[in-house]
Amino acid sequence: MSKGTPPGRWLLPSACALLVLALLLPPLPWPRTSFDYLAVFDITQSMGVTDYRLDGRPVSRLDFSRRALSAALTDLPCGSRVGLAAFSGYRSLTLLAPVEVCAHYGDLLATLDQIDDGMRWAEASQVAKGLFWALRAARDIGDSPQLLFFTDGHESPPLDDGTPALFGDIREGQVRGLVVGVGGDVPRPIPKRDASGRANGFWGADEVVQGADPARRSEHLSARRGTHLQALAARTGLDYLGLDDIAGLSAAMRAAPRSQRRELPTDLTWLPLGLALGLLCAAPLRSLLAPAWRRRRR
Amino acid sequence: MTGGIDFLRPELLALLPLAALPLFARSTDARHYPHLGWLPADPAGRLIGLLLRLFAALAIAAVAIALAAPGRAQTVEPRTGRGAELLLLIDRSRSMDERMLPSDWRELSPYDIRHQTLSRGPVKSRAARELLADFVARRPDDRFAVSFFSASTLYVVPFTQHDEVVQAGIAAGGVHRGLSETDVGRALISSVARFEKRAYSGSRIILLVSDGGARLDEDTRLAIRAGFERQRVALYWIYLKGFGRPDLEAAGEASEAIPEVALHRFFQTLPTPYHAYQAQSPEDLAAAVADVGRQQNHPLDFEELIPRRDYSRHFVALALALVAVLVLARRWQLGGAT
Repeated sequence: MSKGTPPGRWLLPSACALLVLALLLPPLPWPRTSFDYLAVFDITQSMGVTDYRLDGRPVSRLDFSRRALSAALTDLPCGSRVGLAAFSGYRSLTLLAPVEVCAHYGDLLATLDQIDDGMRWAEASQVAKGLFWALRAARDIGDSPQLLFFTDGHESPPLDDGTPALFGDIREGQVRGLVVGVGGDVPRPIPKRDASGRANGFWGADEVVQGADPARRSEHLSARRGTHLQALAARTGLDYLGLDDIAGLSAAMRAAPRSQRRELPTDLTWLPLGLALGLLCAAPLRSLLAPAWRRRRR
Repeated sequence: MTGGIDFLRPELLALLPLAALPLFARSTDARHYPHLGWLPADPAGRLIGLLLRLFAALAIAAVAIALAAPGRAQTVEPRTGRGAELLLLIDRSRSMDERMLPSDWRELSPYDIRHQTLSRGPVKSRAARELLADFVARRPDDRFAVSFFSASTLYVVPFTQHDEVVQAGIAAGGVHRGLSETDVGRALISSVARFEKRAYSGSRIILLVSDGGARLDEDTRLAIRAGFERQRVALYWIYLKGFGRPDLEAAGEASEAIPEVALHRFFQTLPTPYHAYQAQSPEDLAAAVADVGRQQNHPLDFEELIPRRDYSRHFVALALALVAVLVLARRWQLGGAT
């Protein structure tokens, strides 16, 4: 061994080259999984029913929905984009076009915080139409996000003719996503709020449109209309999720069929760095192990 | 305020003990001499050898630290700049989906104007959005908030310095047609209240972008006046004047019956600065927006968000320097030994 190239002589120069590479390597476009959503919140009055509990306190359907989404936002991988919209009357109105969740997490939460029934611009609650308008919004806003439509399914005035037909300009399955059914199973009275947002008793049976056969209806009470929402989901080509706990939403939002593969600028310096580290450790390791090898060879 | 050092991948710090390897290793490149006793004692050489082992150890440590991605966490720093806190209050009513005069309206015969406007004039809300988006992009020192209004006020973006979010709010205003009703009084009351609980920091503006007026009742007027006075907010109204719509400066007692004129006259009685810009065409609108930009350039105290600063590269550079020394030393050592 006294002549020729000592073994491992290339280790250090290679490590050197890898470190140079790590210094110069810009973030490269790399396919990564992300999730894009337009989240639409029903802000009609039935969403004020407090039939959820959070940390031991009763919270409204709307509050619980917003909490579930804000928790889910932290679980989405960076690069995902989320936009926000509200539904009231017969249509959905986009408030915020999708923005990246990691860089703008604080802003998303701040906007989310403000979506409440104080924004309500109409008194009716035509959920089916609102959902169809939301599909249009998700289709037209660009980057084709999936839809998240949070609603209890409470139609006011009630639909007596079953699930309405989809708008002519939308195809079933054109937009994908989730109808998120909110609310409890037991029909509860709907709190009234005046224009300034103050609670003001509950809606009485004679104050709401009861639809056909009023004697047998109780449209002034509200529960999660799961069957109606499942029918709507089937009609529009969306999936249905019952919102029972906060973790459930996050998991459903990160399910494989909801994901998008997209090339995002990705920092890959860990790769040359890891290799350089291996090479730097290889030299002393070899010398530590070498005597053992030599002994064994003898 | 300075943030502490944090790591994006702290678990990789577990690689740090690898740095001890060179300290325990035997020199691999030492020549094998039959009898070490023949060699002269070499304290300097021993010192250099020790130093090189230390360098190798430091290099490994530096790479391990770089892998863990150290950095200074995101912080907020107080800063004084020029700029304003601007709340964009954008009319989201259906009339905003109508068209305004085309740019070349002056060359059209009076007979053609109406037809040409209806067929190829730019849509008001769209022209306004494009200009506002550009305005926001060119004013990085301002804080912006965005609200829409129709029958109610729709809070879109609370005050933020994230341009991208403000732009996303403005862009959202372009998704589908507007809503049917407008209540500018209610919108102004709730918009002024947005400045409450915010430290007064220079100049505050509500930029009302709307194409219609309203006759406000006395209670609403009082509430608006009190709000503007208490919060010291200036009001700029960019009035998107549609074809054949009333002129704000129309004189005479009788004009008071016109909602736009009534609103304009009420705004003139506000205790805080008020400017109206009448925009008939995209050019007027651009001029109005540019003028707003010139008006407000007062010193503004604000908190600037300093994004996380990554220090990985510093450690990579350190490791590189150390390894380069090792490579050179090895070459010199071997060269010298032959």
